[in-house]
Amino acid sequence: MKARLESGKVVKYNTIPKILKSASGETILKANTLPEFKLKQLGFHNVVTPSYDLLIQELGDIYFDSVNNEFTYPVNNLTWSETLSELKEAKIKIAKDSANQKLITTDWYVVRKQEKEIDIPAQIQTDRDAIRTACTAHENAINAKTTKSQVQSYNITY
Amino acid sequence: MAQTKVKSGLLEGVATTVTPASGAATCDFSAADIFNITTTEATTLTFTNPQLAAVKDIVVTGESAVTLPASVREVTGNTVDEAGVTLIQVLCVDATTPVYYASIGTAAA
Repeated sequence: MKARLESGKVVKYNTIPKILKSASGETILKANTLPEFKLKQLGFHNVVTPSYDLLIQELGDIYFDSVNNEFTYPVNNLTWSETLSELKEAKIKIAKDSANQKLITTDWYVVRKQEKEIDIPAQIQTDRDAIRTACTAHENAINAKTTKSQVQSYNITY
Repeated sequence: MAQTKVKSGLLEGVATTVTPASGAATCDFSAADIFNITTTEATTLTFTNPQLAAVKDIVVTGESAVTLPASVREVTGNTVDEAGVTLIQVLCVDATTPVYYASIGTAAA
């Protein structure tokens, strides 16, 4: 993707238009065939999206980076109105809900055991125990975090 | 009332070939009506000797970019493709400034 400044605004282009106007008013036909250096002369520069952590950062408004000659975005840290403990509570809830979703798929073994006295397969029992253990570990890890960013960027996987 | 016989030859236009050099080509509007141009690199056109109300046709072959003078105002709805032949029809509405209106389209070669 490329972009250029037009009337003080950054306009992004997925492709270079076939007909465009230069800053001096010239009409350029088949502009999409222009070589890179010509496009730069016309103000077209690459748009570079910086890498950022979606959980704790966001991109600001696109701007022209004159040092690197490219359009890019500032990476801003997110802020949260909740307190640290409220964020922890919400994160732990996510961890527990995720664990529950995992357990649900094998709950029927437990119900069958209660109703029919048919043993839960050893591997299933092992897997369910591992999910609970992991959930407890997540909860402890989340509680050990000391900043909001740490809590928000904590990755929960099972 | 006397009648003037108009011979078909008087109505015929004049076509010429303009060969771009170093990415530039000049169309002398006093010299022809149709200008055939083949581009091999990005080419900037210059128009000279504008004639009020004259319509000139510029036929461009080649897949390179073509830059028209700032005095050209393109009408809306123009389209252009890299492949094929691009017709630029220019109407001079002000020979002094000058100002041209251009209608642009691409036809299959």
